[in-house]
Amino acid sequence: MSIIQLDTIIKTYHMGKVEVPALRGISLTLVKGDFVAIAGPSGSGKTTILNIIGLIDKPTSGSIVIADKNVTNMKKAGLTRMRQKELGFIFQSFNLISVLNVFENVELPLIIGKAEQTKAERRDWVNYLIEEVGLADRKKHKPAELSGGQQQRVAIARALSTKPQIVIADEPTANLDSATGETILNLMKKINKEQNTTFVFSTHDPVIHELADHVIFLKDGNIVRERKQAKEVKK
Amino acid sequence: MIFIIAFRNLFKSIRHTLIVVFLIMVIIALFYIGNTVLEESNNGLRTTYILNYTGDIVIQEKTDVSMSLFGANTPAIGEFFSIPVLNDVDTINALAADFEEVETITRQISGPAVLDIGTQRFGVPVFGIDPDTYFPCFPGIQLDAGRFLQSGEMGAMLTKGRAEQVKKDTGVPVSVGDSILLSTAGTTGFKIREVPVVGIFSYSNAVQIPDEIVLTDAQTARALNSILLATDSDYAPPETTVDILTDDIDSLFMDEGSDTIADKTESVSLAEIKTLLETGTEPVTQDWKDGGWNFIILRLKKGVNDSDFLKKLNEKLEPFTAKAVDWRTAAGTPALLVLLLQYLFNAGLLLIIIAGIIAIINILLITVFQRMKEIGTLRAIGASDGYVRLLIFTENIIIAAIAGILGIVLGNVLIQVINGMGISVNNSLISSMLGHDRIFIQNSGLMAIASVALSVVLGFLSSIYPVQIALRIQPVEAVAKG
Repeated sequence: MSIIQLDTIIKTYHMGKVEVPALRGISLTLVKGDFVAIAGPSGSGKTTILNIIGLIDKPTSGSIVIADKNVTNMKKAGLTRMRQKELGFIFQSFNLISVLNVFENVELPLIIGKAEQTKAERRDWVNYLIEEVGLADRKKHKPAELSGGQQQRVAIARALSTKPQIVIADEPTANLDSATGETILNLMKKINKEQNTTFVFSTHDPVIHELADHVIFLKDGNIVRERKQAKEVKK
Repeated sequence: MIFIIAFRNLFKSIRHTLIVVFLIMVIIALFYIGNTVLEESNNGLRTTYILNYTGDIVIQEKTDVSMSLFGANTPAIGEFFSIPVLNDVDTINALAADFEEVETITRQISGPAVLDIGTQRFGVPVFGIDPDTYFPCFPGIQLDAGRFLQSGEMGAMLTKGRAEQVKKDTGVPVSVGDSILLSTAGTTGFKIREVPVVGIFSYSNAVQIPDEIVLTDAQTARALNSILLATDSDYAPPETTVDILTDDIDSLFMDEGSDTIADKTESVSLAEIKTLLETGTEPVTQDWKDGGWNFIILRLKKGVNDSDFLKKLNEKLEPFTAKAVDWRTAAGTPALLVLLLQYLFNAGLLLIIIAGIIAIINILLITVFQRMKEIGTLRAIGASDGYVRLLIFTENIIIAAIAGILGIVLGNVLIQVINGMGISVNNSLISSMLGHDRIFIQNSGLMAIASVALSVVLGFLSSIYPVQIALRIQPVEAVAKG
């Protein structure tokens, strides 16, 4: 069952009068519960493709279907709703709200999205997520008081708080040491298996993409190779 | 949550917050102090004028120009303007008296005259009054010597300031019983009236009232201003007099030796004259209750909103050629000058506010640009336009409200400092404006509320453009800066 379908996606940036092609006609299909790594060297288009899947950037041409909804020509409000309900984001530099503590950062998407939960239900769910990422004793800490690995765990909990079908992670381990990076990846994989959430993340680290079930190799804006491992997908 | 983010963000970018708070605080302190002084001055003037000579409402004849109790409010045409007599004065008086909001009612004749007293000569405004109703209407008038003018008598009352001026200039004090000459010149020739001074009075809070005013009986004022007189007495001319009027005019000149006066050979004794005077039908004094009046003056009951009443009264006056005006118009130039000052001050303040808003917008824009990643992240995790808008507005309105409160605190501190200095004012114009001859400002709760409201409006207006810029930030900014 496909959850993301990209068809001939082209993205061209304009740097003054110069056109810089970032994606040159990418088509791919990802299924629900997939754990996908987008691999490739710098400038290959990894971040661009994640931004397009995550609906925070628009392609120059091509069509996109996410969670059975054709979002190609969707308006701003519709895209915002899709990001609220269907998508979660994990950023390379964590992007936590610095004035909020761990609990509040994880709770934020639920409040922005006006989720239909009681206050108690919301608190229990946020506490559960924080425990899942192993930060139960850091709930009242501000991001500045946490290590990089801990901040990325908060970001993972925040990305999962609205129970999205898809989580996008742009180089989630790039700012972490290799051991912490592996821990983060294992945490993502654990959630992927337990909750059947589709994860799409980018990396240029061969060690990290070895952990993925499905690896898409990009070069100069094209898919040059795709590798899938047989895995059990929960339906 | 929005409040938490907004509030904590203020501390996060404390330097910008402090600059914005300082700017708004100074603007609000200026607004608060300035308008408190003007409002107090306005209230002082209002009370003084109402209690001393304008009442709450004045009914006058409709004119093309704004008219006070002294004549035209425009100085240039003042000399060429004569105050029109009020038509249907009795009907309008009865109509006004029927309103339950009206406490007291009196009438007045006004006009300029030249006052000769001793060797001194002054141009003065003469107020012809009905003593029975005038003095109860104006409790601000205090008697310093002599007595109040009485109904039916001819006489004048001078202000204490005028009496002192005369004494200073001539060395001779003005005494009750002294005669004064009042004269006018108009299209119908010169009018001169000699009347005795019956009393010397002063206005309460006199610093704001012109010392020139002379109060006289209505008859004298009417004569000076060529206004028709009438009496409500039962006087009827003897039949013989009427006969003359009805006879053929030629008969008056007929030479038939029937001249009654020439034939009169009997002498008249003193006793006969006395009897005639005692029993005669012709009155010795006349009760000049009626005749033309220029103004009807109303004092309203406490708590009545004078502008609402004015509107109501003017609706009733629609069929007449009269209109009602408020105390400020009736008081003339000094009260209008305070209003003008208030407008000028606020116009100046508006320029400062505009400059302040521009400065605040710049600072808020810098804050928005510095927070592109944060706002982009919020967009990426699903924040709508409304959420971002609400967040920025909340932050800025919190700053503005805090700054507004601090501005009032600063304003109050400055007011205390100014009051503590006990500065006295010698210039009568400035003291008229302030309502005191010493600078003393009282805090105004209403103005404090208005100041906080202004600060919130300032915060809102300053935020509009930065919010527009924030809404243009795309979610991709979250990663672009990452």
